[in-house]
Amino acid sequence: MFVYEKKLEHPVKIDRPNAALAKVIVSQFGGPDGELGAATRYLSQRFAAPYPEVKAILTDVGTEELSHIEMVCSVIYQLTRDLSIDEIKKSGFASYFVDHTTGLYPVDASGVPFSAKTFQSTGDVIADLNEDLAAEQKARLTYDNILRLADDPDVRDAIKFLREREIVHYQRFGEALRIVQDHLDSKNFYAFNPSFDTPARKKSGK
Amino acid sequence: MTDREKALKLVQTYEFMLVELNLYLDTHPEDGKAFECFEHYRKLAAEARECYVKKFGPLSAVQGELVNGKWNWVNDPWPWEVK
Repeated sequence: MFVYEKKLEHPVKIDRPNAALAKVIVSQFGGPDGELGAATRYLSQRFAAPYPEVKAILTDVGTEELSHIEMVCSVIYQLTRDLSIDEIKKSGFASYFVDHTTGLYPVDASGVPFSAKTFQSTGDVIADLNEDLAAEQKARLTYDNILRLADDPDVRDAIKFLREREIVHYQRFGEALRIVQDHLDSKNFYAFNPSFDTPARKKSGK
Repeated sequence: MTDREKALKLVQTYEFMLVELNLYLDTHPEDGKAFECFEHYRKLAAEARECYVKKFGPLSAVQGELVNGKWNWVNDPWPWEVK
């Protein structure tokens, strides 16, 4: 189960509204490499994970991603406070505003709504973990691009924190993949997962 | 930074150490040194949390109280708000 904690993982405190920046950062809420996709990906994949370390890391990273959704949404919420209609018209935010006002809705930077088609849950731990490694790199580079576009130090502080988490998650998923590969038959030097046809517990006689 | 923000920052700092060490321990479950570090921050986090909750209200709904006849879990500010 999940229990709500009434705090952010890392503080978000932005003084100056900036609708143009909100419009690109929203991609890390509902875009192809965003936090909503990340949380949903890992929290779905974990049910097919065969080893305790892998079940743990998918559960715990997936849970952390939920708190990253909350941080990204807080950034957008604070960037779109107290906006005048003039600022909305000038900033390119009008196309979001017309449907959602300043409510939070998961879309990418060009307005395409979130889709579960951006990720997979294959039932195959090696395929899943390889996707997860790529996903962390893609999220990292999206944050790099946001940092190229954002000058406000308050925004940059939150984005830099989130970027660093992608790097740590990539590292942990790499270790999880190594743990999985250590369980493969020593004669199998290709990384594929035979567990659907020959369940691990049957082979080890447990 | 307000007193509330300072107290919350302390909770966030120590609890972040727990998040980070939790992930590390998931893939290194036999690393005793990392666990020692985890225990150290678990203690600091619990103290910081207790201090915050006493002064500024619940961080989780199970810590909610009736204050002047009102369930204080609902009180502003919520985490995304800046006050």
